[in-house]
Amino acid sequence: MIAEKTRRHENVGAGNWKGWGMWAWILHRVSGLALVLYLFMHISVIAASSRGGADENIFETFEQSIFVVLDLLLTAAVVFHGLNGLRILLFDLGIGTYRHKSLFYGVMAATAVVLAVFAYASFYYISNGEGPW
Amino acid sequence: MPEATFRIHRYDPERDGDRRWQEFTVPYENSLTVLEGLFYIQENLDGSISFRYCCRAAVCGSCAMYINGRYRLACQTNVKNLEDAPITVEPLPRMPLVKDLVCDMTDFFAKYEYIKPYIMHESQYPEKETLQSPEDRHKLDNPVDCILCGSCYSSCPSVWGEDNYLGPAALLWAYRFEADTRDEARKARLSSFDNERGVYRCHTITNCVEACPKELNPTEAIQWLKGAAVRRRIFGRWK
Amino acid sequence: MRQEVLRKGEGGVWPWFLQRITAVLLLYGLTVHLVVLHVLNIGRLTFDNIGDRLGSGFFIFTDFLLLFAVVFHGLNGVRMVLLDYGFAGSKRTALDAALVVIGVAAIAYGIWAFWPWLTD
Repeated sequence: MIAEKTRRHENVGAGNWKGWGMWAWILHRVSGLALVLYLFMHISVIAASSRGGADENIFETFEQSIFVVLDLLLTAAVVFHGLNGLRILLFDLGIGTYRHKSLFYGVMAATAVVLAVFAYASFYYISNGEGPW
Repeated sequence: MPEATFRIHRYDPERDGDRRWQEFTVPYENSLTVLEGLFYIQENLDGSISFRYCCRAAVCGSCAMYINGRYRLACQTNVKNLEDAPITVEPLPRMPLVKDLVCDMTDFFAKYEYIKPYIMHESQYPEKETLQSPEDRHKLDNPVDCILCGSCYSSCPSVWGEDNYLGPAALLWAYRFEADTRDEARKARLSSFDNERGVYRCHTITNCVEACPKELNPTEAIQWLKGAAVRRRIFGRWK
Repeated sequence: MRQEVLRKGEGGVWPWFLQRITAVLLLYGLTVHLVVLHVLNIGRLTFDNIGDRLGSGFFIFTDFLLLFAVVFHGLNGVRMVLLDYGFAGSKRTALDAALVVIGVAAIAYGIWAFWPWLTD
């Protein structure tokens, strides 16, 4: 029988314990929720550009520098969420739960590398007016 | 003779009800465990200190504590190997407290009981023992080492958020019996863990893997149970 | 009695499994989406060049796959997060219903937004 009394005097002070896997989980959650918000913005921007008529090009708005920074943040969120998702998919297959820390470091490193590629492409475009490839 | 300073979590609901810290100095010669240090304090310095222990050999799981910021068994933690001083001894985090280093494990064991932790047979119990190949037995080597100390349960954020979540330890034991070739429980055990305050509440945070003093892997066991649930529904395979 | 509370909360395997399926689809779809749009063809987007791209069946397939998968994956993820914060009983039914409505509306809105390019 489960105790009916509520939990009181929990030792919460020590409960600040956070393993590396927990940071991965928190980042996964936060980036996931941010991406859900972005998803709805994304759909409504698509609707505005397709239904708003071809003449007024709303994409010009997104060329301001603040949007470049926000886009890079978004890319970081997408890439981290995707790669950490891959890590979770590996866990689902029974691979790598003992090596979850190394996998997390790997995910962070890979995110940094992919983000660097995107940042390079976008700054190259900003300075040269065309893509590097 | 070298001395070790113990910084111990004190809580007495009958006296003041406040949580506080108390420091003790314990002399030691060569191999003093944290549990032996607690014995010394109880015998010589302050008889009112409470803690759980039993086997003193890392088999019973009674003395799991939060020592110097990590989940450890007090009986197998050598003071010599602890680098930080003073040695901070706390009860398991996020568990209801009873007194000093003792926490309330009622929920923990009720959840363990809830997944029916015994081998069941579909119809009649056989007269002789059921045979199992060494390979099949080998699959259970990991989960049978669980001593139900509660470290993983105390470290799991899903447990912190949801009182009804069964927790890593109970689910590790569910795996131990579900993966056993001798077990024929099928639906009798399935309904206890195959739902959203069972395996699907686990978000593979892997705190339990880091916390376990026996270095077991509840996350992998829970992922196996999730995979088995899908295999069972799509291919009709029970094991 | 807490034991009775423990008995509730059936199901959960399909949300979990479909989250994995859509995750795999998204790993494919978003890689194509990001690499093709933002690395290889970096430049200003216009109504016309999006239309050109959507002229090919491959991109129509990928984009619609993305729409369905991302809406399901996102809203199911939100549900998974919210269930950790005490949604039980009727609150939970209401949550599920609200998420289904939002999901269907988002997919319909997305198709409606796509339509001018497909018929252009």
